[in-house]
Amino acid sequence: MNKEILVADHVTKIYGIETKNPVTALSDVSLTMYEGDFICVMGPSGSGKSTFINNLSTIDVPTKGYVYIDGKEVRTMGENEIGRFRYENLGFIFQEFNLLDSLTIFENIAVPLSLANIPLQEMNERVETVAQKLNVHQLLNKYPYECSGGQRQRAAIARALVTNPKLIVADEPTGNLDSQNSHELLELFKQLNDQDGVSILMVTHDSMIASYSQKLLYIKDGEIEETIERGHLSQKDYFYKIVDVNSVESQKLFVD
Amino acid sequence: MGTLKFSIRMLKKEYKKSMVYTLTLSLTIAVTFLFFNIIDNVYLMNERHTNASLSGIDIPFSSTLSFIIIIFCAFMIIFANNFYISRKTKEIAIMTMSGSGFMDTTMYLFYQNLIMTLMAFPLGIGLGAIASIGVNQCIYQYLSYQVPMFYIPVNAIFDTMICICAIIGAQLVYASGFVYRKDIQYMLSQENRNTLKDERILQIPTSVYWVVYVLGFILLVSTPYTSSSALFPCFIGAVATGGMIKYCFSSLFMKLKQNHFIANRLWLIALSNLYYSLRRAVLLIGIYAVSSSVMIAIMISQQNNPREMVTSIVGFVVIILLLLASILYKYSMEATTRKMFYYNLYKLGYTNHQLLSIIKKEVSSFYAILLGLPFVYIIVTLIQAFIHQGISLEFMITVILTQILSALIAGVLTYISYKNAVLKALKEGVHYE
Repeated sequence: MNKEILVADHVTKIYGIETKNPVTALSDVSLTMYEGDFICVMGPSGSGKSTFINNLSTIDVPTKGYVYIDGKEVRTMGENEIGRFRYENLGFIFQEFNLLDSLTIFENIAVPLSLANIPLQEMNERVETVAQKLNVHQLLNKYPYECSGGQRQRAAIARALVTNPKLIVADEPTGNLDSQNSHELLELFKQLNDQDGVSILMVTHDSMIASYSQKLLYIKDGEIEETIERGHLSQKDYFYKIVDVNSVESQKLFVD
Repeated sequence: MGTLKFSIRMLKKEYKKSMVYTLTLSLTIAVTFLFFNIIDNVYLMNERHTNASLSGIDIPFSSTLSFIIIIFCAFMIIFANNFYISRKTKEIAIMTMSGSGFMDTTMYLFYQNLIMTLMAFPLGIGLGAIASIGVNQCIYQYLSYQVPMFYIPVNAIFDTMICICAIIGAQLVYASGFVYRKDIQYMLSQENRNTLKDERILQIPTSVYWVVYVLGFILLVSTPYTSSSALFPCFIGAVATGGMIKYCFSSLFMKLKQNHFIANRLWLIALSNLYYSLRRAVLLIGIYAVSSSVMIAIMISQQNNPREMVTSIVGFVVIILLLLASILYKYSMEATTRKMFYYNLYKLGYTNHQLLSIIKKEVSSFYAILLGLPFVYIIVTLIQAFIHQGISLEFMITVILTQILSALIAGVLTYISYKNAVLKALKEGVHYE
């Protein structure tokens, strides 16, 4: 059994708790993630997918329940410790790329390394290596606005991978990519997961993209409504199961 | 009628944006009124020193100076208005998409401007009247005049009103041009646009700007001293300052980052943002450089004419404050567009403390550059005047302190406003996302 890296224990998140209209975005959700897991989160818009991964990745703090990282509860960690945990262990990838506009692609990729106080020589080498791997080495001196969507996403992935993170947290990483770039990205995720043992937690709307994962969580109205394990299924069969879950939800609309 | 209602509704909804602009407008109206008060003051009119002539009509220097400052105020209003409109592009785009024509959209902007001007006018006149009483008292005491304490020329109000009406007309022309020229796609992306492209037709080598800056300095030092000898070199230096910021600092900052700060988690970000902030405010920085050095040169040249000297001092203080207020306003507005930037840094592992430290470094460097680039010229101008014209040491120190302290206060206020915008985004967290 692999080591537990992330545990969500009965996590509830309520926004606007002091207001007249509090909104429960997550309700009593639990999950244990092990090293080498590739988990995908699906669900309708507003179901709480992003809230779920934000709470699990220390970006947000649960209203109730606990999140344990390497056995340590997030709320007992200081601000510096959480910050260090993020740049040493997590790699974030977002739909909007979230590159920093005033920094070149090189500087964007180097930010987590400068946070980790990596010496300059090593920093240059690591940025070069990851840039070569993601085919953005020719863009290193450009600014994000000078690059295409696919190039920007590859640069964002390079930034996420440059620290060799244990866990990649990806929120709709293919949302702004064409199908070819999307599948290239997922092939890369699969390779990182299979060969380097990197854990991946990914939110997507796309059943095809989700079929690259090993486990699928279907969230609805802030609760995990269904969990599907890929097990020994082929990617094609797993894809059909995912499509079934999604289409059942759509069919319910007509039944109701 | 629908356009009027919509413009009032949006003005209410976005009252924070409108409030800052209205306050800037009030301040500028107050300054305009203050200088019309000097031009129209009958007690000062007969006693003014005359040193210029136009078609046989004597033009007192203090009137000329006041007139220049009023023109400057008009420019500041138009500048603030342009910036205000550039932050409203999304609603203009939505109006256009919803079927509003060119006239509707132009009128929408005109109504908003008119309402804000109507609100700013009495406030500006009130502030201007209070300031005028204080300034008048200083002038009267300095010149030993016996004038009723609360005397304010009524003409000053009418002149200010005429001036503001002319500016509203200019704004209407600008607004219509803006709406006509920009397409929906441009306007939808304008508010968060962060691109800084070099759009020069003639690509002058960056070293030229450095050379011009140094050349201006050599001219300043080597030109035989007269009361106005500093004006031309200071102007050259100020122009070079703008060019340096716009075209030289990019490569300079890049080298600095590559050679010294790439591994520095705070300076790497602060320097990158600093370059953006400088580029965004390059026009204001250029005007600050020109007007501060030129106003100091004018003050020096009027040492022997008390009345003109007092007008110059008031002009110097007012222009510096007005420019710093504009820089502060622009910087604060820019800060609101960087919320997501800082939120992303937070996600990458930066702590709140580190983010605030980045902001502090950026803002302090910005004001150091704003102050530092023209300061070299100003110091030399003052020292020359001290040696040749016998300006007092107290005068020299007061001028230097006025510049440093005013920039320091503007820097602190900018930091507070920037910090609050970023902290709010971090506090809102995923809500903001």
